[in-house]
This record gives sequence, structure tokens and C-alpha cells, in this order.
Amino acid sequence: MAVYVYGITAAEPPPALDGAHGVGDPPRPLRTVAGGSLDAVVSDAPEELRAGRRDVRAHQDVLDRLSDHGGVLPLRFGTLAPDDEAVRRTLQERAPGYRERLAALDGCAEYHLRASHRPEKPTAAEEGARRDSLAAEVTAALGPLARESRSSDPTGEDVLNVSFLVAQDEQPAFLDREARLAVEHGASAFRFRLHGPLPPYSFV
Amino acid sequence: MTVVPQSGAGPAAQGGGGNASSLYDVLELILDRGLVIDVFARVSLVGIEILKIDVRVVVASVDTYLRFAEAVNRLDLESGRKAPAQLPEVVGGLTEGGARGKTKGALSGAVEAVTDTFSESFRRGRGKDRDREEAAAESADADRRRPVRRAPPPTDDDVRVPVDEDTRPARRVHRRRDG
Repeated sequence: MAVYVYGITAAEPPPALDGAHGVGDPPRPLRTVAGGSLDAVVSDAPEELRAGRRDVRAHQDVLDRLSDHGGVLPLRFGTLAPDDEAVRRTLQERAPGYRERLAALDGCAEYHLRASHRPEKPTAAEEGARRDSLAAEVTAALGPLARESRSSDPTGEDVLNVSFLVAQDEQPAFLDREARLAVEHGASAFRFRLHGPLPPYSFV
Repeated sequence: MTVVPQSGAGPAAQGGGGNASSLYDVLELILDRGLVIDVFARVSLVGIEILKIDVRVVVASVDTYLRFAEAVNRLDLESGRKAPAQLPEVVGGLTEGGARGKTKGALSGAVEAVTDTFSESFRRGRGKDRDREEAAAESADADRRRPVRRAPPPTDDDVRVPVDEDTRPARRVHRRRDG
């Protein structure tokens, strides 16, 4: 029986999943598969998996829950293993690497920041210049408060797309500084959108 | 999921935790990041490798956006450069595991990536223009190699075309090799 795999955790005790559900319609009950003193959180694979709101949110909700319960290595949406035994074997074989990464992520969360132009669009040249300076400014301001960061090419109307891995005790300072940036830029050119705390999708 | 309120932001970015726009913004993270375990298959890799989004409307939800994108024929399946060779086996297992008759569904919905107009136009010059229905009718193998679905740029009229999520045969692309 194929299983859908959500994430890997080293939490002790393992997360209590009674009554918790994941992807599918009806949502499939969650369970853990132990191996190499790690636990994978899985459910039976649904007959139909869709990258639409229902299943994406279910995936995200499970990982949120695991993040709150001692940390998680989030798997990419849509991961299927042939059966529980394959999951167990993989955990056993790769436990050292997973454990090391979980330790590096311990107590950290991802914050995902995007910025877009306000509706009055500048010329392409202006836009390029402002985009570059914005990215540099944001990285300079927030980078020191993060363990790691990861930028991507912004898509659509966005001009900034960057994730930060922030340790718990740095989160108030991070949020405070980000809020100030948002106010400064919000008054003029850019609209910021910050999401978090999230499971550390970008830092696995 | 939490949206951190941005005091310098407009109302569109405000909102409580778990709302639709926050899911939309993190969709790329959920679909395109996160740990990949090579010995496992990834269903949505059949078709989706990169999610690129060109937002021209205020998006109420992921599904609304995807419906919009489909309505204007700008859904694009970027062929998976890392398409998993082991996937057919696992999918076969899923089929054998009792889901026969419904297995097409297991691979159907994930085909929801959207490209930005410019790169799409660029690639279109090199790819084959095909109607989406034709693409859907292609064999699984051909489709996996290059699931190209191209269409003319959207018009304003297109934007208003309603597409019911549950009546979208074109999206239900069969990818089962043993189909």
C-alpha cells in the first residue's frame, strides 16, 4: 500500500497523531513509521492527490503541527513511498544525515518575504534599479538576524522573493526589523508580504 | 499558516493566519521546496517541476487562481527535467494496491503550474502549439517527456470564462504507462 510521506521528525516522544488527518478526500489518518530512531509522519496515499487547495493545505497543516512539536524536515508536496517498510528502511539508512539537518534546524522557523510594486508601475530601468537596491537592503537588514537565507527570482508582479531561517530567540528582533522595513517601503514603492513561522521548506 | 500583518501594506496583504492568500504565497515553497528523497516518487513531479506564477488578478485562493490560469489557457506543464524514472513502478504499485479504476486521479491534479508570459512565449517558439485536449490525449510517455500545452496569450474575455473545477477533463491527464 503506497504511503504519502509528510515529514521526518526526531521529536521525543513522537507526535501524538490520534485523530489527525492529512491529504485526500476523505482525509487520510496520520500515523508514524519509526526507523533509525527517527519518525516519518505518513498516511495511506489517497486515490487522488491534487496540487489544489485541499491537499496543499492539508500537507502544510500537518507540517505546521510537526514544527510545533519539536521540529520537522518537511518533505516536498506529493512524496509517495511504496509502503511503510520502504519508509522505515530509508530512515534507517539515512538517519545520520537527517539527524544532522534536524539539529541545524532545531528551534528555527522559515520566514518567507515577498515584495511587490505598488500599482503605479515604474519604467523597466527604474524597476530594475529599485529591485536590486531593495534586495540588497533587505538582505543587509535581515540577514544578520537569520541563520540562513535563500533568494529566488521573483515571479509575476513581485520584485523580491526571499526566505530566512530564523532562530526562535531572534524572531522578535527579526519581526521588528522587518516591520520597520515594510513601513518605510510601504509608504513609497513596495508592498511587503511576510509569511511565517513556516516549516523550513527552503532549508532542508 | 500565519501571515504577519504588514502595517505598511495595503489591505490585500492583511489578514489572519491561514487565509487563502497566504497559502497562495507559500504554494511555491510547498510544491517546489522541501526535502526530496530520491528513492521515493513524487506524484506532482509528473508534469510540475517549476512553478512560475504570473499574477494578473487579485487571487482569492489557490484554486481560484488555478481556475483562472486554466481559463485563460496559461497553464503550462514544464517538463520535469528530473522526472523520476522510478515513478512508473511506484504508480504501478499504487494501482495494484486497490486503487484500480481511480488511479488516473492519483496523477491528475498536480498539473497546475503556470508560467510567466514571456518565458512561455519564448519557449513556445520552440515547442509545439497544441490544444490542451490533444495534449491530454497524448500517450503517457510522450506526455512525460514534454507535456507541452500552449495557447495564445489571454484576452480580457478569456479572463471571465468560468471553469468549474470538477468539470475539467483536460486537466485529467492520464500518465499511467500501463493505461
